[in-house]
Amino acid sequence: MSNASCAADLKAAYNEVKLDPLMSGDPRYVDCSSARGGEDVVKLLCTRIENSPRPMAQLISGHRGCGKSTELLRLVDDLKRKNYMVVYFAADEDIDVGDLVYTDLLMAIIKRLERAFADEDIQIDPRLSNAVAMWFAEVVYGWKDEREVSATLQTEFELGVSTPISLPILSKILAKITGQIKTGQNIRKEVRLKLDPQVYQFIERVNELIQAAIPKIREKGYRDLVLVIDNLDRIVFRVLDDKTGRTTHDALFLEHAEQLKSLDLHMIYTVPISMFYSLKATGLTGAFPDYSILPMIKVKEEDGNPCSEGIDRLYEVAKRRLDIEKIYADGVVEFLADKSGGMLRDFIRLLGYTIELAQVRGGGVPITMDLAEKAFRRLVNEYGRMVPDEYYKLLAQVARNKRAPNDEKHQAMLYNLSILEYMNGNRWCDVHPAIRELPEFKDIFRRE
Amino acid sequence: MYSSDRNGSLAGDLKSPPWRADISAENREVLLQISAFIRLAEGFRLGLVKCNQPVQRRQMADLLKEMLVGEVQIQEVDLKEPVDDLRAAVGQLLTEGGQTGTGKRVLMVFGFEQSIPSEGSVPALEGLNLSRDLFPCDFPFPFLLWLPDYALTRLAREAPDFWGWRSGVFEFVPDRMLMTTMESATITGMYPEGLSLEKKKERLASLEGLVWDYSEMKRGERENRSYAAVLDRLAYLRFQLGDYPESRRLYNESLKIWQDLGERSGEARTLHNLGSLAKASNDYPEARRLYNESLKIWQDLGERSGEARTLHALGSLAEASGDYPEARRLYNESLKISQDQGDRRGEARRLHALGSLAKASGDYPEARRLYNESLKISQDQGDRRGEARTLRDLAMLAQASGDYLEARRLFNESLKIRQELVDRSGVFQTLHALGSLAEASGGYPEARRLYNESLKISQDLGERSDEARTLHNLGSLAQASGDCSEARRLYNESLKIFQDLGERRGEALSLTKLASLEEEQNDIKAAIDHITQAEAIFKLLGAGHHAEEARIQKERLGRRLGRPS
Repeated sequence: MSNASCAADLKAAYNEVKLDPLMSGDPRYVDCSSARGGEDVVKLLCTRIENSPRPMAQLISGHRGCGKSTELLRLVDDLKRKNYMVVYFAADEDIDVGDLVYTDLLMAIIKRLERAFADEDIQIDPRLSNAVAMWFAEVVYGWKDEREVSATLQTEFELGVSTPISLPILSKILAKITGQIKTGQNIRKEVRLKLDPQVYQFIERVNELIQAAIPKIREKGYRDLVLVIDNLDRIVFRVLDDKTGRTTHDALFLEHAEQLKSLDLHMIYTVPISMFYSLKATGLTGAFPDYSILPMIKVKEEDGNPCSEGIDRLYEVAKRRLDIEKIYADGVVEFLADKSGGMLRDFIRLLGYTIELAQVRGGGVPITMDLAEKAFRRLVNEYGRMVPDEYYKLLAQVARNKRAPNDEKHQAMLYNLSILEYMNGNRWCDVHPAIRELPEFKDIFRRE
Repeated sequence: MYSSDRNGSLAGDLKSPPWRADISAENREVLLQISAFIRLAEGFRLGLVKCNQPVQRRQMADLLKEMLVGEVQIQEVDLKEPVDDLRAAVGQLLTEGGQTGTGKRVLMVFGFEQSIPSEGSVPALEGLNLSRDLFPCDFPFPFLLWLPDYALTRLAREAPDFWGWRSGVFEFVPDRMLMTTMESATITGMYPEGLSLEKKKERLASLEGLVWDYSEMKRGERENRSYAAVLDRLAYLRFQLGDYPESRRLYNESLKIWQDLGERSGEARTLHNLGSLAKASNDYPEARRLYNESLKIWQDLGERSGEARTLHALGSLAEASGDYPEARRLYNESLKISQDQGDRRGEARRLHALGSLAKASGDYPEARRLYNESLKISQDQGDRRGEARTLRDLAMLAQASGDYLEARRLFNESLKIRQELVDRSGVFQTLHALGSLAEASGGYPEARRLYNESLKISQDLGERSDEARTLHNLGSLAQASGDCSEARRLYNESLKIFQDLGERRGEALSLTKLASLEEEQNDIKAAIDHITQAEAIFKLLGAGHHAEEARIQKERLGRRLGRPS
């Protein structure tokens, strides 16, 4: 092969191994559920909705870079194919996840629903729609006269060039409130103060809209309405109270679980993985008995023996993207799969590193084991930067016991992926393979 | 096909890479990795580049440009200020810069470390975590973020979602030769106070780069010695720039190293500097403790010139606390050592200090005698700086005795020397003093002109405390000319700076002025509030005279309000 085409191949290959989540239906998608040691999470969530006569709220969680967004997009697609009307949105598009309270989320939900109904041409009785709009106008702004409200909003929206002015009054008021919540620091607080004491009525209003819409949704041939909210796990983790250890995550998912559950439609919320490891995990699973965690792809068994199923699945992930036989020497992809610990994003990253290193070496293929080892060294260094010294002792214990106790430090390590979690009937943990190579870890591990 | 001959040679594939002999093998490899990354990547890709030293960073970035010339168009964004939102700030600067040329784009971003302090919370990192999904839309091309070591570590730990998005971390290792060059470059010009703010910031960045280089290196005794010296220099510069907490942190770090090395004179010097820092923060007991600790070491070592310097500092501390006999005793002790040592410059300094003390005690003839003695030595020694300093103080003495003509003559003589020396900080002081002289003789326009001129220099030098003092004086002028709103603005500005710097005396003086202004405007309540704050500070500082004046003013205000306080 000439060097030029070789380089072109490497370039094409490199751009096949991007870290972005796959859209549903992407031919590069590989179903890894068998290797995650549990059932297919998407199928499970889907089946629960199909089998539930009543609307239900479910949780989905998983580690950063484990393929969660990809799976969620697949779920949306599955539901659509099964004739559900799906409203999907990423929380961070609508809400400031750096400073979020549950009423913000409820506002975002009603805004999204209202838009979705309009987009699907689902007509809500204008009397109901206006009554809901006036409820918000009065609670939030103290406006009582419908004509005045209508005129005020009309002017405001004429000033904003891009918004179509023919919107119903409900869309305008919702857009106004959500806009203020998202951008204005002070007004955000005011709006919240006004909505918080009225939350049951607030939920009542949302449910009225949903109930009015459902028959029309059915008329359109849909089986039901499902709301999927992604990226809620990006809510900035902050301790709100040092004494009780109450966090921003607790405030939303534990303290307001009732409110989040009380909407009359099927809901799927993403939850930060660390909540499942906290002492409050039982509170969470008590409130939301229907939850699914996407574990890592298992590349080793708990006893340390290789898990060929997981390696095979990852091999398949690589094969859907790259001409593996041409680019990699025998055993290299398997080596990288093993060293990724079954974390999809690190596996893809390692593939990218090897291609880059091959380019440095002049573009020769196939990529051999020495480059794979070098790529892994880079990952090891990166993990070394992430881990504060005081964690090595704990990591050594996790490597021995294969269990991570429910405390703040272990939560943090599960969160930053120094500890990975697998399913095998039971959950078990191990340190990331890159951690095992760090001199600080080796030292302590030997002495433990 | 596998071509083994290419596999071994690193540079083989590049068209005549612009290697310079002084680039280490490790850093060459990093350059090759980055260029491979750039060549391969399409669309948004995040590359993180670790490089501590601004000069090294520049060098590496230029080499990359040379390596990729004709292939890609590398755009640079240099953030000059801390930002809360990296994406928005970079986007803004990119739009302002406009897009030039065509072909594949690559973006290199520098200066984000200014948004990442070494300690404390970092809103910019939180924001980064949240906005990672928006980067690919705004920057559909490779995005290389350059950071020093500590900042990259903080990013990895505190913005895990953004970090998780990386497609490569490229780490340049410290370049020993470059470090040596930078170390000597930051030693020359021992007076950072004379540098413009921009130059100070440049020096700051170089020194910080050195600190990060040293802190990530395996250090032997020699390296530790250099490291501690660099820390001391950086701490002094931080002190100059008014960042006292950071200065203290750095001095404490170097103190530990000097102690570990068993290098006692380094330890004594750093303790002395920590003492000066405590004094500047008005913590006199702590300053005394530190000076005494330093003094003890000088005495143990028999290092007499160090001893003389620290005694002098203790003297000026006693003087600041109003204990003149003790101050005189200490200055004399220090003077004696300098004379024994034949240290003429030191002698001139101690005489000068004794002169100022005599002046403070109201003994003007004695002060003049001492100043003149000091002046004579400085002139003999060709110590122009010392000469200019003493001329200025002689001028102030003349002013205090009411001889304005003589005062102006002496100030101008001092000014001339300082201009010749390009001693901008000295020029500031003299212009400022000439301003006070003009103010005292009722020449308000002249005073305003001189203050404004000195204000400009202080701002240019980034000397915030000088700036605050000048703003304060400009405020007095405005008040005297009846421009109350301008006066209020100026007092508030100076108050804000004094508060930022923790300079409590200045703060109290500005509060007093605000109170007098408010009294003039019959805003009695505000005046009482301000004068009460001022009184509390003066009491805290042990400035009895000022506190008493404040108390009297408060009582008068209380009566005006109709109820005695």
